[in-house]
Amino acid sequence: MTTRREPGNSLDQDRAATPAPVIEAKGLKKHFPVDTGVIAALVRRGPPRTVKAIDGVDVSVSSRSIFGLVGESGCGKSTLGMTLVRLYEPTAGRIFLSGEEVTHIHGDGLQQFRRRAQIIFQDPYGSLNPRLTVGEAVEEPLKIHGIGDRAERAVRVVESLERVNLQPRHFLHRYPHELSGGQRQRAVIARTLVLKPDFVVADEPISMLDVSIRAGILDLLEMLSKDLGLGVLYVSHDISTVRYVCDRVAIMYLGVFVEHGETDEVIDYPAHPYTQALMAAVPIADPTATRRRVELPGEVPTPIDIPSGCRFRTRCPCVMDICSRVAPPWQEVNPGHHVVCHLYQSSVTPTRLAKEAR
Amino acid sequence: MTEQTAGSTTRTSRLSEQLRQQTRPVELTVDHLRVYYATRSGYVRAVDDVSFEVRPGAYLGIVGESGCGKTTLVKGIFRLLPEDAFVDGDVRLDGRNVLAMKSNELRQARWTRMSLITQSAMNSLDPVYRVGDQIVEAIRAHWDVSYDDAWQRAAEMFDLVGLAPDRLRNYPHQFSGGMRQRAIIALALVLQPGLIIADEPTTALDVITQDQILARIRRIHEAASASMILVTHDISVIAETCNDTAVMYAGKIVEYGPTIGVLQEPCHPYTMGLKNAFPNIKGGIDKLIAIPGSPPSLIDPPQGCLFAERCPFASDRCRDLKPSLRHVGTDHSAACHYTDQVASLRERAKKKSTWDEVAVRIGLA
Amino acid sequence: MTLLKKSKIRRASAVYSEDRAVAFDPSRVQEAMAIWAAGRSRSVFAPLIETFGLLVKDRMAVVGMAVIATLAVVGILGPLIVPLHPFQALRAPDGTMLRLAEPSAAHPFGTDYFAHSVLSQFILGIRIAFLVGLSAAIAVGLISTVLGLVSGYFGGYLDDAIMRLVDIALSIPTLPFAIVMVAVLGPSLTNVLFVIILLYWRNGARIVRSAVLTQKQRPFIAAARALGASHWRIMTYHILPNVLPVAFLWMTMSIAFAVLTEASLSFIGLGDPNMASWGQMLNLAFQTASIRSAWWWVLPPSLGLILLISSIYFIGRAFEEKTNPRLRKRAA
Repeated sequence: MTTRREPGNSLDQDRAATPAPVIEAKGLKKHFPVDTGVIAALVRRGPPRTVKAIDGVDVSVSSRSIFGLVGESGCGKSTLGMTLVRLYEPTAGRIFLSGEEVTHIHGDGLQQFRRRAQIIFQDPYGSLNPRLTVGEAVEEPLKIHGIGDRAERAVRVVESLERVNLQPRHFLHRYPHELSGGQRQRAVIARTLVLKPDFVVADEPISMLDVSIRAGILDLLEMLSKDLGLGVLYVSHDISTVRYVCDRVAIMYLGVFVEHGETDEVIDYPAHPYTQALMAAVPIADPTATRRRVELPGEVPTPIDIPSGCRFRTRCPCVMDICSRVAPPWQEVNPGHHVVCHLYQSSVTPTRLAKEAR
Repeated sequence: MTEQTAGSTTRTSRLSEQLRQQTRPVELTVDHLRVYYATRSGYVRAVDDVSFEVRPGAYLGIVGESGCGKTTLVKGIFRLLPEDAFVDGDVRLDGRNVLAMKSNELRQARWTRMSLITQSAMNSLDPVYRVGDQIVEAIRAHWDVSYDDAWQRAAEMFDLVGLAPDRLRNYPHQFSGGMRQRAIIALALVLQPGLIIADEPTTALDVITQDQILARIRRIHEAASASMILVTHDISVIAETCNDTAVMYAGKIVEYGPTIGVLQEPCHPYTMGLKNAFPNIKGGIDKLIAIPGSPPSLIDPPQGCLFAERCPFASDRCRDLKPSLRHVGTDHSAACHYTDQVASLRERAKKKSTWDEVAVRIGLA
Repeated sequence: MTLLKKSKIRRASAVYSEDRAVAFDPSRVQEAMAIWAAGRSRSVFAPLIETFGLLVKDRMAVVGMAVIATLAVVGILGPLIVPLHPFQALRAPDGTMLRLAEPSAAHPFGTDYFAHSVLSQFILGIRIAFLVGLSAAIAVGLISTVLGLVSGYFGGYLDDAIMRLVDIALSIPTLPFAIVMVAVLGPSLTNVLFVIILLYWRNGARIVRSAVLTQKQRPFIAAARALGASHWRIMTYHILPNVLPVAFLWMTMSIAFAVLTEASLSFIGLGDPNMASWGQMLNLAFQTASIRSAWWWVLPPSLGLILLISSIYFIGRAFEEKTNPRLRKRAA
């Protein structure tokens, strides 16, 4: 655990430097009821149990940037993506799109929001209706939103396909089963682009694709953000790819962020013990390299019964007395690099830290 | 680790001692193996003329993308292919041809001489029986031992894969995905096979769990001195675990050799491309480069080199003539016509413009 | 509360009212339209058409379809071929009533106890069977598709309510319910149809619902929702085409159930007295104690029922085999 610089009070300067966020969430929570139904309600004792998939997250993604969201399966990262584009109704907290609150909009407002905020799913095989040609699939959003006449839609679809490097002449009339995985994901991205959104969630967009073509899709994401000026939330469990495309990254554990900052900073100098374990577990594609492994005991607790205090304490190699009693506050370990961990709190004496941290 | 300490006091059972003395790593030789599937539009050459050898105690990695035939190859070795698949060639376990074995001999060989760990095996535990009973049943199907002895052996295996032995009393649904995969590994290893083949054993799992399981497998390989084959699409997993690496493309092995050699000094353009496309947590490359295009049809493969269409260095010779594996160093071979110019190819392959030309050539840009 | 919601909507739409669509390049219209025009396009209702194509390849289904087609032709053309009115009392040359006459050249199917032509009644029976079967199937198909779609797609309380209704409907014993209902409402064809529809929508709704639940899980449904597609569009454009084969299978089966139920009701004397359905014929044969002696009176309606019902089952089975991939694999 290296703190290269003294934590400073540069939060305000930091905010001034970054461009206005295209999407911003404050105190966002999404809880799913566990036992629904009349009978469950009758036999249950005590308050209804909930899965706390997102349990208080502040996030902001600026335009022309890619924000990485990393965590293990079940940490709530996909739920966060789906909640930000309002596929789930938030339980608490507020969501803003370009400064306007969109937390509970519905009807026409929601329809307009859908036009501006899009999502790309993990499974390119399932994301396209097998009954529609690529052209029809890309045209569908225009029809849904009643944009343009036949001629205008034709041009927009063709242009969108060109953007993602699918030659319209070849691909417009193909069915999804006639495409490779990479081509399908390109078609999905073309469908997203055709509405010219401001914000896109890319939920594990390459994890089902072959290694040799993943880079092409990552390039497209970069194009979306840099050329078209979109804000992109890139959700992934693969930290190595995050390094290549993301400007900023947040690490998620059990429904909350535990650390966030600039990508290189967080990956090279992980501060939270969980981030450190996560980074240490990533295999290195270099047969001569060696890495120090950190073994985490036990399993991720269920998001129904979240541990008191710090959520990570049940598996943390550096756990202290305070961890079970007090939830750690956000600390800035370096300018723009934030972490929730008692280890970095000056008032706490790191009892076991000296021995454990290297 | 708490799970580890929980069972480390278990005494090594008589059965285990006996097994330890009996087993030794198996030698696997695959010779000109072909597996073709009949489809309506013709034969799919899923595995086409593959030969390799796993010396006793070696750890071989087979890396390739989906559809390259790596899983078919594994199924071919285990004779788990569908009835109508056309299989030709030799698969020899310590000199005995697996493809010619009678069914009872094969059944015996499948658990005691070689065993298979697959990705989907995670869901293959029977939900209505306790995990321990399923392992005991597997032991008693092959060895004439008492229930208690078998249970103790199962407990030792759980300890080995990092599960608390009292977890044997649980049902599969009480396990998380990672724990189930560990249980499957325990099940696969319980009869101390001399050859272990792991086909994408950690693909569905999270990095932290993957790391723990790979470390276990590595430890087991060392302890049991079994021969191992790890099949994966993940170069970094191969880089960290395997001594030797075979790169498969479109049903053939295109490069084969010591892992360090294959990954540090790749001799086949496909391996070079794969390396470019693979992200490394340590950074290193500024930009990931995709290999343009997609693998050829295995029903009607091109006449020459199967990678020629996507290869930035392909010439007319490549399109006409199939290259065979040739030596490029001690134990290191590659199936490319231009292995003599490999140093310059390697330099050119690092540039994105080289691969962009391919995209232009095949009409993708 | 409603006031608040409305103001929210207005505020939101005010924010987004500015047209965000960037102007498109009109010079490319011709080129783009040409690319669009160059290709093929299929109806989204293709699954149903495809399934029909597969059906023709099944021998038993072809036999079934042939039988049904023959019955239909006979039913339509029958009155032209056999001009005798089904309820016209026939007399022998000597002037006596031609009761229970064996088949002869003049009356190929013989006559019944009331000296009516059995052939004419048989043909009328075809028409009634088709009328009952088809109208019941269409009604049952419509009700179960709509309820199944709504229930499966929206889920929640609506699903709960509809499915509990189905549970209750399923607990009703078929024949006793039909008997009591018709007895109360009065024996008429409309009432018999009503009872049949009341009985068979329940299974259909459940079957369609489970198909909808499977379709709903497919990622492209979530994708469509994220693009802003309305519930109506998702249900009709993305889900319905894929559940139609299942709904259609249930419709086919309902034809058989309806014909059988009508026959059973008629047999026990609860049919429409003005309609000589096959069940009615059997009922009269039974009541006049001719069921053992006048085989020519009993056989035609019985065989007619068996032929029609089994033909429908042949088609249904083939249909199920083609639409259910698990069965298809086993057959291959």
